[in-house]
Amino acid sequence: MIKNTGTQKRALAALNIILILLLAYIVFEIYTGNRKFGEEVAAARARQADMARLEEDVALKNRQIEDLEEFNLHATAIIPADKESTASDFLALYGEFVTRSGVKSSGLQSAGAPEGEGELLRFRNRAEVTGSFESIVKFLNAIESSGRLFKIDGFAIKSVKPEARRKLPPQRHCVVTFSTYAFK
Amino acid sequence: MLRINMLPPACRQAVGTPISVALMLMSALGLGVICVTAFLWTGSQARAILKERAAFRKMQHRIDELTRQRNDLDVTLRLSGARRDSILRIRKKRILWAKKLDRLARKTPESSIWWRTLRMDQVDTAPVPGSLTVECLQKGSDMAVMEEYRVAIRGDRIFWRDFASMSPPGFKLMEGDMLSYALTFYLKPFEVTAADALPHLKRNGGGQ
Repeated sequence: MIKNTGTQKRALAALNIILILLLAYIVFEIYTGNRKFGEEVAAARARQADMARLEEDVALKNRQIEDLEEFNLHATAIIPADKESTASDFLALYGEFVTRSGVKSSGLQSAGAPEGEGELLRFRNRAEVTGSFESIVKFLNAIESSGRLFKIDGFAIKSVKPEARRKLPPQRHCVVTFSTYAFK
Repeated sequence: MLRINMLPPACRQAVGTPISVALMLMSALGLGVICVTAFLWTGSQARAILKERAAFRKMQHRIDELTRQRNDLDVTLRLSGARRDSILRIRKKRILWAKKLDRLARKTPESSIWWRTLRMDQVDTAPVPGSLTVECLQKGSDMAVMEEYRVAIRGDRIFWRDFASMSPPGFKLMEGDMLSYALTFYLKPFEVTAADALPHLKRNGGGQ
């Protein structure tokens, strides 16, 4: 029995030590876990602010894009999207300009290879027409007021040869260079 | 019947649990309870933490998605912005010459001044982006007529809007009491500003 009591004491002492160690381990785990999680939470909160900023940013950019899309929608109406449609529509339009203004066209040619102008391609053209001053102005106006974007780069208007001067109204010869554009 | 313990006191079985053993047992029990409580509490904390972490992970995914979205929008904005700028630059440099020639014709006295030639060259990149030259013939040698013509042209707002200056006066006396002279109008340099944005294109359409 004496031996039993001693063994009991030692066993209980050992159990106490194990429990104390277990408790210490739990406390340590909680402390380190809390610390690590605290850092994670702080980082997440900072990112939460980032998220709010990002959401604002995305909303703002979406609005800007809406504006730009409206602009681009309009732009695609005045600038063809590719070179092929630029060329095919152009002749039909030129014919319209000549008919509407009443001038006589004696030539139309491309004035050089297409040039890049920002995000666009520029096609230069050179046209020769004859008619009264009023009809030449109408021709220039038809180019400028077309549904497509044209830009007049230059012109030279001269009186025609003396033998044709008798015709009324006085006839003039005009060489006009103008550009049309397409998206790259 | 009376029972008598004949063992010496040291060897006799203890009547109750010795106090030291009882204390140790109690402390072991107490510690055990604390340990179990701590374990359970830690478990519940861990579950809460895991739940919160899952929410944070979800937020992280949203942030990643937003970042990707923003980067895509940036690319679209850059491209669309560049297109818009190109169009605005062209439109800014585009002068409606038909209207100008019409205004010039209105300012020209029909009975005394005739145009021989009109020449316009526009060079978008040059510091002086071009000019319009009108070679005139004037009936009579009255220089006041020429000066009045110059003043009238300069006073026409629609015509003059895109010009910076006019060539100085000069003439040549021709046979038959005629004056020959050239008027050159120099264009202003072009400036594209933010104010030339969208409404300009929307209002005027493609042509005008």
